[in-house]
Amino acid sequence: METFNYLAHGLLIALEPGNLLFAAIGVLLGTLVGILPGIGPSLTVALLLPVTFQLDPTGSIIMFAGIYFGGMYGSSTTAILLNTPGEAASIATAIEGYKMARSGRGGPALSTAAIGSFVAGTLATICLALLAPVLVKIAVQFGPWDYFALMVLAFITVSATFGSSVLRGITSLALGLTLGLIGIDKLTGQARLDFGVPILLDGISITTLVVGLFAVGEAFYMASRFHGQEEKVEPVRGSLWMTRQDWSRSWKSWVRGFGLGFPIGALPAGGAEVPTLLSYTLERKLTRHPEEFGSGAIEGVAGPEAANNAAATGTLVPLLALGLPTSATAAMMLAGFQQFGLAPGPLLFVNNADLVWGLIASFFIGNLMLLVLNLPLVGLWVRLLAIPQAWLYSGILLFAALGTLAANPSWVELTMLLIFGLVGYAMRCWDYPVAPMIVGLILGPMAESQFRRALQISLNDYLVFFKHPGSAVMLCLALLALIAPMVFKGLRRFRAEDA
Amino acid sequence: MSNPDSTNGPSVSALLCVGLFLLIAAVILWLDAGTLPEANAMGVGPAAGLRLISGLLLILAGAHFFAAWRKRSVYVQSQSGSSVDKVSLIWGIGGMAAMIALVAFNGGFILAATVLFTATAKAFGKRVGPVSIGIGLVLSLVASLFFTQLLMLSLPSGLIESVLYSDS
Repeated sequence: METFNYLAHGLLIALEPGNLLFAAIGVLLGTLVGILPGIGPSLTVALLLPVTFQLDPTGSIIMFAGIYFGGMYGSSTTAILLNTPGEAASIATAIEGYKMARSGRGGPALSTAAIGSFVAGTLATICLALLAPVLVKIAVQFGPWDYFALMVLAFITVSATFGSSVLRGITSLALGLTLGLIGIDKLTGQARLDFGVPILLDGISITTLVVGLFAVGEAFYMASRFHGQEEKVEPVRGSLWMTRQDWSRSWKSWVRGFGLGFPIGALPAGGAEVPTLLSYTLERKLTRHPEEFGSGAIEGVAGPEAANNAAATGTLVPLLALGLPTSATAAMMLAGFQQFGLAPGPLLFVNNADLVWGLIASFFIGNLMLLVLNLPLVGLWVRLLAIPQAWLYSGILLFAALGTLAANPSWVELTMLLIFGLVGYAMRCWDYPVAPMIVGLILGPMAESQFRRALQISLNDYLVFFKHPGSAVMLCLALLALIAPMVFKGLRRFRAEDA
Repeated sequence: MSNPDSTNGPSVSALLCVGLFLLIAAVILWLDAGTLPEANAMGVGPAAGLRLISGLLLILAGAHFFAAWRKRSVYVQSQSGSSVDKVSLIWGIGGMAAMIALVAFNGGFILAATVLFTATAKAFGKRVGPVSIGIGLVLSLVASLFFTQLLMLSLPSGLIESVLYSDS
């Protein structure tokens, strides 16, 4: 009952005109960047950090959350109409969605994506509101060893468990951890890896890293693969509305998508790609119209889209209750909290209850806004896709430089941006995941201080991490999460050679 | 995106490059740890993290070299005509480099951003001409006005800025 009181109070905060405006700006901006190729929600939050520096924390963070959801929604629009998913999480949507659009059923595809996102997002927000306080009660009893073990688990799941290659994922993570070491050590005040460059004493700015990897790296990649042709937009023909049959075929998929998306997002497993692909596979197995799969089955859009949005909300559970980001966008939101001197985690629920519950309540409003605003505006969004790539990427680079300079007006910061851009380009070319590096940079220093605190308390007893049941279990899970994908891969190879 | 390279992961030479890079990083971290004073009696000092990550980088470097060695046989056939447009890439990187130089030598944000915009547009096949320079200039002007006059954030200033904002 307590939760509902908090939630009702939060709803009042979220309904304040200023916060409503922030939510609206967030979802619109999020949809915009979700639709435009080359920019995603994490990059947008990174670029907006300097802009929101002087604004109200509650409003700014509500806006960041809106960008997250809006981005998830917007990328489904491009996946359906253009067959180019704006985010990795929309790959599954593109498979059936684009087929539907080509056969003149783009309207119902967009509708089931939008309504499915709304249903799953709302259900996921309810679960978030119920689950987060429980998690907070557990987390209050966490010692530094538990936090350290939890972060190790998050490192492994984000980088190794669900990626295409354990080696590449861990490498990306290690690079992020290395960057996290740069600067003045918080506990002793000693400088590490500063190479005599004064700017490096403050550490690597997560904004510069995210902007460099995503904006600059992506622009270089697209430029190097540019061959002069533009993509063709599939026009939305016919009615936007879903028929009775569409509804009856969609709703179960929405619920199943939510059932897959929320738990996987809420576990420190990171990313929304996995639940969307799982949902696609599940819908394909369960459908009563198997013949339609491959030529535009509505279940194949409804399920993954619901999973996508539920997972996005799910990743906010560990972020808010434990301060643990498990995706690039969640990492950026953590940076947003830190900008305002707030640390997500159990204490946030006590010290900033207004902000937390206002934020959670704003998810309901944001999802509703997405539903109401976006379907009628589909025509406008589609027109945005007609912007030539040259202007788009030049503009992205201009704003990338602007955001970096606004945070720190120095050419050294710009040089770092270029270096990260080149690193991002190389990672893109050689298929290294980027998210582990970002999570490594922001979570690495936190893990280190928990590690050192644990050793201080235990008087240098390295076994302290195994003497407490919580941390021991989590470290074992981390080891399992590291080994399992390698074992499965080995088995698969073994079978393939056998056959 | 149906580039076969991207599904099979990095090529042998790329794996060697990354491995070498990781090895160098590991050495730098280890050397830096040596310059820090040892920890006091309780707990571990700032050097422990450096040594730990250095070890991790070393293991990863080894794993990359191992992966490269295992892949050595496919080296010959994987080099089938790369589709990288080097000229475009150089325009893109050159634009960023020019912007850095302009900011470093007090060229100001507006000029630097216009150069960046024009060079990037060139990388995507737009001729360097009045159109791209014009769009770049307008965007940089608007961005500069919004950030420095409205949000009161500071951007690098140069000749154009000193003329524009001289009275304020």
